[in-house]
Order: sequence, then structure tokens, then C-alpha cells
Amino acid sequence: MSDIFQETILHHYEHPSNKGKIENPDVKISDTNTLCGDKVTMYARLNGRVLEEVKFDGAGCAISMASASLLTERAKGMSIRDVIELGQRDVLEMLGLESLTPMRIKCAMLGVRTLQKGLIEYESKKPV
Amino acid sequence: MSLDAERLREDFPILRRTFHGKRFVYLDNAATTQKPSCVIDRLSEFYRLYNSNVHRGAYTLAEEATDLYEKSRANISAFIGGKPEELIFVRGATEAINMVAYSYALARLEKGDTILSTEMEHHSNIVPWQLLQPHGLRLDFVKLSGKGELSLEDFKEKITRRTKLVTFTHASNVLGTINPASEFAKIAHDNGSKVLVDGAQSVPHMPVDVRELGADFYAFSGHKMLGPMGIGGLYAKSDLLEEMAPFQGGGEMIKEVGLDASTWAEPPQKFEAGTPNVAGSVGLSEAVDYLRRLDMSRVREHEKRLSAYALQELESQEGVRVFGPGDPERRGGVISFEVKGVHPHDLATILDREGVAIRSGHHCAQPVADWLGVSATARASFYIYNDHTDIDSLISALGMVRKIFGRRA
Repeated sequence: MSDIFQETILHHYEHPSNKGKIENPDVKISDTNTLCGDKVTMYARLNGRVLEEVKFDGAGCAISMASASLLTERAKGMSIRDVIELGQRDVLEMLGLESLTPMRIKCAMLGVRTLQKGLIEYESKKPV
Repeated sequence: MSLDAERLREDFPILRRTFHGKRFVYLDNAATTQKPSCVIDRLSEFYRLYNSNVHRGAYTLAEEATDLYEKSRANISAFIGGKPEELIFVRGATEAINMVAYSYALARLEKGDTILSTEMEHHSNIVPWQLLQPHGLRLDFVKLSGKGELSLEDFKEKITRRTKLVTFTHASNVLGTINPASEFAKIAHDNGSKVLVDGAQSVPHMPVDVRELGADFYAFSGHKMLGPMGIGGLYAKSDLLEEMAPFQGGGEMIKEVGLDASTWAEPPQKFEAGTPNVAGSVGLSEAVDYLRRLDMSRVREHEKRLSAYALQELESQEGVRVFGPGDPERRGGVISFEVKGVHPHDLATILDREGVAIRSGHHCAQPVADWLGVSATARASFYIYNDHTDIDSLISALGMVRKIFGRRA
């Protein structure tokens, strides 16, 4: 049995961190993973260019929900730029996995890709 | 009288594979079926001995290939009770439905005419009709009700004098429901509507006679019935084929071509532009012979028994919810279910480690998932080479799911 359903993932799936909404957020963005039917909404409140609070809401498979949960912990206190630079390697590291199949990597990346999209949109709207 | 699945498995080389050190239990037959050696060999034989383009060459080899192609057409159309000239070779059920959408509905119906589909359909029997809406054709859907049957009441209400085509699946790829196709066809015909039946989940699993059913059009895929991928059929009544516009233009489908205008070949060639999938047709014909030897009534009985056993075993599992009708008489060998607290994709991943291949997702029928109120389901679907031991493997693998996900419960 691979360690895909190891402790960290199951823990975050069953007891997610920062699950819920942020009232009047700076960033609110939803996306879906058509493969699994995973749905995620990412919320962020910013202080300047730093993510002060990050939350997520949604439903989906253990991989997508655990990675969104882990992301909210990781992204808090990070700069917009650093979050935008997070990649597959970072997400796998958060999950404690060495690799995932091409199909399941989409589940793992859903939360981070969605948040990144939201931050890019936020930046493009804001005069520098 | 019953099928000896263990014996039949010997005909399928792929079933000898092991995954993660476990015997391979293939339960995704609604997606595609495995191929027996005779079909694989026939494909290879075609390319080794008979490969040539059809309907053109005057040499012996070309005549042999043409003969094989047309004999395959006759054999496959007879399997569903049609005449050879009523069977158009297509890539699969999806292309068959698209052909009806463009060559019949778009070409022959008028603005404001309605196509009546259902909430039970695969996306391939929804989206082609949506694509016609900008052209002024209307689209309506018969509702699901009860445990996943189409509402006869709603059907009778939705069918109007503007309904020119009624299209529905013979058997659901999610709920397993077998629809009373001939009853629906009669209601449609009494209303003056034509009837298209999506047979992708029925032709492989039960005796089908398009005339008895009263279908004007009948679509099916070869790869879901032991045949190769990329070949399937559209049955259509001869008078409708005459009336229909060509689907694609090109070689094979013409009588004469001028630079200003062209005339069309007679059906079925009129609908088969370009070099057809000759090897595929030959392979599918071989698959049809294989199924005929087994006898489709026995195939249906076999799956009914398997479904009854699987339903009973799944329903006795804690936290398992089974979707669709409970009566095996009214359903095919497709069973969708969920395990409380476990996403179907995670379930499928764990079962895979136990050698059990099932499907998870919305099964290309999102409206059905919406009706069930879920984003995805797990689905086990059976065929001739599955038996009780496969269902036992599924059940025991579900124990592993509980072990991983249920330990905090």
C-alpha cells in the first residue's frame, strides 16, 4: 500500500484547518476539478502584499481537501509573490508525498492553483 | 446453462495481469470491456492478410477487404435485428448520436421543433442537442423519479406536437436502470415523433431487436461489447437514411463530383465519408460472433444474478449506500454506490491497490449526479468474465477502505 493515505493527509481531510469563509475578503475565488468533482473556494485577507488570513471551503477527495487545508496553514504570512511561486514540489512536500499520478496531482494542485489565480486577479486590479 | 466466467476469463489475456501483486478484478465494463484473443487475433490477421482500401480497387485483395467489410456490416446489423443497409459504421455511440443530430435533426427539422431527451442521459445524448439550440431547435428533458427511473407521467406531459424526436438511453450507465424502451417508443410514435435509442449500455448486455423495440435510430459502441475501440454503429430505418443529409463530405460518400455540385452515394455509403475503419468492423464482427455463441439471454441472466448478489452484499455493508433500482429484473450490471465519509476517487484508489478496478466520478452524466445530490459516485459494472469471486474481492477491498478511513470513527 502506498502512503498516499498516510496520517497527514487523513488528518487534514477529517480535521481540516481554516475551513470556512472570510467575511469581506480581499480574495475570493472558486474552481472545480472536473475529474473528481472537487470544488474549492479560497479566501484571503491581505495586509499590503502579505496574506494575513487564508481559508478554504469546499468538498472533494482526501487529496484535494488535505492539500487545501495544508495550503491555508502554509500560505498565512507569505507574500503574494511567494504564494504565486508555489509549485508541485512544494505541494507534494506539504502532503508528505514523493509523487502522485498525473490524475491525482490535479486534485493536489486544485487549492494552490485556485488561490494563485485569485491573487493574480487581485494584483491586476490593484494600481501599483 | 449459466456462463462459466472462470472458463471465459481464459479467453482474455489482459485478465491474466496482476496489479500491485493482486489478481486483476476488472469492474469497469460500462466504460469499456476487455477483448478476447479471437478479436485481437482477427484484427492482427486483417492487417497481416487483408489490408486494403474498400469499395475501390479492382484487384483481388481489395475485393477481399470489401467483402470482409460488408459481411461484417451484415453480421453486426443482424445481431440487433436490422438489415445490412440500415447500419452505418461510426466511431461509437457518440458519433452515431451526433450523426442523427446533424444529418437528421438539424437538416430536417424546423425552427421551434423540440427534441425530448431525459435527465438520465450520458453527456453524449445531451450535448449534441444543446449544440442545435442556436439553430432554433428546442430541447426538453424527461425527469428522473423514484429510485432512478424515468417518470412516465412527466414523459407524457413533456411530449407535445412540436416534439419531433424523442431520445433516451436504453440502460443507464450510472443507475443501471433499464428503460421500458418499447413502451416509450410507442408513446413517441403515437405522437408522431421519431425515436432514437442510445444502446451503448444495452446491446452488449441483453438481446436487442431494434424492430421489436420500435427504434427509428439506435446507437451503440463496439468497444463496450468486446470489440475494438473506434468502431460502432448507427442503425436507422431505410426511409430515414434516404431523407437524411450527409454527415461529412469526402470520398466514399459520393456518386458523382463536379466542381459546382455533387451527388451522394446510396446509404449506407452516403454516411461513411473517407476510408472507414475496416479492421475495426472485422474485429467487431468477431466479437458479435463470440457473444452470439454465448447467447445474449444467458449473458443477461448471468449479469442479473451477479447484480442481485452484488446488491445484497453491498447493501449489507455498513456505511454503503447503493443508488438506482433495487430489483435486478429492472436493472443491468451497473451499480453505483458511495461509502460514507470517503470520496469515490479515494475509494477507487484504495481498491486499485487491492487489484480491483472500479470507476469513480460523474460517469459523464452530471445531471444524474445532480439528481442524486452527489458530486461523484463509485461504480462497479460487470460483464461475462466476472463472477461471485470478483464481487467478494470488491467487498473485501471495501474492508481495506474502512480500515484506512474508518479508524477514527
